Amino acid sequence: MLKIVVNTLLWVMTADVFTGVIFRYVLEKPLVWADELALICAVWMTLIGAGVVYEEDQHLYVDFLAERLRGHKKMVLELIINLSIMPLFLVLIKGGFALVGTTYTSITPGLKISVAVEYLPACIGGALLMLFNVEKIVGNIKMLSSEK
Amino acid sequence: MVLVLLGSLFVFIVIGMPIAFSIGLSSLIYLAVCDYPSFLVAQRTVQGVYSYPFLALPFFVFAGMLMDSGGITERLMKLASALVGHFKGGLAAVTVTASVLFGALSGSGVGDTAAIGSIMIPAMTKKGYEASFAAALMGCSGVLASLIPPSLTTVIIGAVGGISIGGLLLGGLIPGILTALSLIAVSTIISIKKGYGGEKKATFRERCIAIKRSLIPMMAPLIILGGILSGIFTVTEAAVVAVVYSLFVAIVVYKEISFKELPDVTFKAVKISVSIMIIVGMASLFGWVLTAERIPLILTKLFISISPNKWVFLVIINLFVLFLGTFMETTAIVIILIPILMPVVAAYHLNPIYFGIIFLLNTCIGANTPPLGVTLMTASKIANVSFTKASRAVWPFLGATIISLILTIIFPALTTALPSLILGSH
Repeated sequence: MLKIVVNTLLWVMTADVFTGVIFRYVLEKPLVWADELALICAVWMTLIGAGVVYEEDQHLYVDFLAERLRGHKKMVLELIINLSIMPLFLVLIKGGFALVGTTYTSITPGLKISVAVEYLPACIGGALLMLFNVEKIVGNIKMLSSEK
Repeated sequence: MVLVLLGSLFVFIVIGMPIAFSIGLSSLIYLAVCDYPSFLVAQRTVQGVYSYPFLALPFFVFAGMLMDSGGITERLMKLASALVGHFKGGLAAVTVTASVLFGALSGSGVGDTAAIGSIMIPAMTKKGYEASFAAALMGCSGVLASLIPPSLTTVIIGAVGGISIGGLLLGGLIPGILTALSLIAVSTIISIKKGYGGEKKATFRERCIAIKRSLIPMMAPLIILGGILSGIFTVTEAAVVAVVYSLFVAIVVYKEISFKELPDVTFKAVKISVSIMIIVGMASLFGWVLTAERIPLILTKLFISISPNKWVFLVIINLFVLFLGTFMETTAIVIILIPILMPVVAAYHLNPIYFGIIFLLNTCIGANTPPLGVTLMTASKIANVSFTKASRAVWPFLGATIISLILTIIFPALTTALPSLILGSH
């Protein structure tokens, strides 16, 4: 499901910027909204995708400590990391809501839609990250307790 | 306060927290301690991603993935092999050429090394090359791709540092080729000494076929480079045209990707793009914090007070980047450091393109320097050889790269001549 969403966003970006190129160079009638749409899609893709990538453990990280730890210690380290990231996700959701609230009456120059669409993904992406975060923490704790 | 910010960032990164979240979290701690509103996290992250030059990034990655899965990369490698594969050490030369030309697809030196290494390393070991040699060579040439167009890293460095991307692409060309040639020279000398050798020579007919098969794929890098340099397209537009072209070639001309497989290829591109873009977003928050603390200004003053001599500055930065490069991905180092350093670079009246290229070349060396060397580690895993053995084999190649780094530092014209010749002086 999320895969379809992020894939579609990349496709829309590609189609949109390419259409923009054709209009600008071939038809010589630049589209005023093309760049804006692509940028909004990029924000949505990044914030929703961040959750997907987090779930699959594919974010870039430095692994030299994790590589040197085994079994129990490694699991404790993972738990500590996951617990300490949580506030960041909470703030992302909270700040996203606040910004949607303050910007929804403003209108974007190109598409003439509410500026809130730029900040809404912060709430959604934050919520996804939070969801996967809790899932991971529960998983870590289960693993640790089953070990004893 | 600065110590809390940088100290916590360092701790988070070292314990293995994803780099994007490490940056975000340490900035958040700073905001909380200094009583800044927390909505800045969401605002800066969104605004960091909302940047037109950065749109080029997902398109670059997407085009790269399509070329790779669409059989384009493979055809180009076959061409290189048909042309020089029969010389002593010919396969080694093919490895360098292939990874330099088509390697910088994912923006991750480790990822690129893994992609090309998984084809070239077995090919070399099968022909009697020692596995440690193959791993060391692959590690060094895998990261070098970031210097030569089409390179994702130059797009990132240009966008975060406000440097002309076209200028960086051109500026990296001579140092990149110089380093590639010196790697080829070193590997040929070793190959002749140890008698690594020589595939059967391709016949004239086979060569013609290989050339013919590569004509269509060759166009993709040309579109990107030509479009940008001629000033017709912006980088973003050139990248999107390359996506559409690769899509056409992979699906319609070669039929290597079916419509069923397309979602998987797209998804792979999305995941790679996102893992870089989220770092950029979070780094924009980090940048805000640094500016609030006036770090770039303080840093500039600090450097000038240590020495007004630009060489001293360059040496310090080089050593520092080298150190970071041994355990961190190039992309992450660039996104974090370049915005902080650009004001200092300006204070020393250094050409930003010159500085950017030196910076990149340096991360290539760091990524292969034992005892950590992330890229070398990846290559040795693929080659199934111990890291200690690969570390011993890597020194000649590292030496060659270090010599070209020194040449590039001493002769700024190597990086600045082409950009000013073609793009004019700015």
